[in-house]
Amino acid sequence: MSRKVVGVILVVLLVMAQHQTSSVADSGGHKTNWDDTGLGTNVWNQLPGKNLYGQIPQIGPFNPFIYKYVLTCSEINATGPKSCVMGERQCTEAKGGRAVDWYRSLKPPSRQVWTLVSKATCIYTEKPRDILAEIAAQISHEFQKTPVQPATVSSQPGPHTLRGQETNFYALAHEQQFTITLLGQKIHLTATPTTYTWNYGDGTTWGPTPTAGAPLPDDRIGEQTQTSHIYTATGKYAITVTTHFTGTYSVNGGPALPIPGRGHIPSPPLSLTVWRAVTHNYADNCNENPHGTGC
Amino acid sequence: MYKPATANGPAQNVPVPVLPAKAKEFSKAGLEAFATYWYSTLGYVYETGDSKPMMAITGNSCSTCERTNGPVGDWYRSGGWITGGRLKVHSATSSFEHAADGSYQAIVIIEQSPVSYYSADGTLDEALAPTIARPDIVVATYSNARWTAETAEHLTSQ
Repeated sequence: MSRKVVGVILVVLLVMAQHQTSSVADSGGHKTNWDDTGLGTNVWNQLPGKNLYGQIPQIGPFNPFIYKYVLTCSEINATGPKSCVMGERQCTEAKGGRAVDWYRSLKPPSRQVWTLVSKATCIYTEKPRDILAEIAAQISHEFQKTPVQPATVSSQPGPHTLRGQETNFYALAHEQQFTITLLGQKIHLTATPTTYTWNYGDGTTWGPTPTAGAPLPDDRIGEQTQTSHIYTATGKYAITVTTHFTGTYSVNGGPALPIPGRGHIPSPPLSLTVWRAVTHNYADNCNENPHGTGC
Repeated sequence: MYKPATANGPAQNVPVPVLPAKAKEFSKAGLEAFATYWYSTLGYVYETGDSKPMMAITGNSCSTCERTNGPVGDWYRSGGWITGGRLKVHSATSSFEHAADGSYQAIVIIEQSPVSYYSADGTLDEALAPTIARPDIVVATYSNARWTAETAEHLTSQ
């Protein structure tokens, strides 16, 4: 009778022990708040034609926000005189320093609810509201002028490959940061590669696609991949990839705002020579048959 | 009387969240009330370590819940406590369209008061940086005259 009870207790302890390990492993053991990215967030994008979100891949990062700014020291700003004084005190790097607070809301059709993103970003001008609007108007043009590095393109095998076989291609592009001065303000630009357009040089194009491809281990070269291609004719080919970058900009340390439009940065062409492979089978070795191919 | 947590001790007499009648309704306003209520159960987890009110209205597949409830519950069981953690709901909006899988969605703008972890011996273990308001999505299904949250998580990575 008592043995039975002990058995039951053991089972309960085992279950508890298992539960504890699993929850610790999930959180990585660190202390979180609800903002923690480690909690896991799926990629939610607005579904086309619906006021619903789904886990569908989208070309480019999804920025669902619209932004506005309010003078920290304006009458309509409800943050109060305390933050107003603090804000103005910080903006002493140049003459005409004023502080603005940035707010964001979800884009329509979501209900417009403005919440604070960052307080007291400094703007150095007589009319900060005008200068921010001017920056917004010029930023797309500035983004197009920014010397964003293209992706590097590689092939496997290369620089020679065979007709009728899978040749694997991959592009490598990085997020890039730039600091520019526009209308007297320090602007920080970030360019993020999001999609790629592939041109295999034989009339085949693919994209824009989020697929950048990846190198294959040596023993798997020749396998089909998402970015691989089969050439049906011998010759020299130039493979080009255009990387599409999306950008954000931040004025004097303010929030990262989306830049309308995208930058399209072509990579220098990758040269590839496609050969044909001819196989001859002989029953004899070269001593017995010196006229065989390759003897 | 309710007393929020301080550096000296955990919150006292935290009122157990009570599901409002509106939040049981199968309607746009019902789902919005439900989504708002859900975040009071999340705040309750941070204030007490007790996830029962949340899990009474939440499906088991909610991984963000599990990753919060497990460690926070463990922290309280070890004698520690948390200051802050309550969630302010700026807005809750549902289009009340039903998704292909039969679920409904609400978009909730939430802001959590800054969270600090205190150990059983009263030392401040970790003070997490204050966060800004951000949009969350609550995916819910309706059956047996009540809503169940299948997941509640961030809508965006920012």
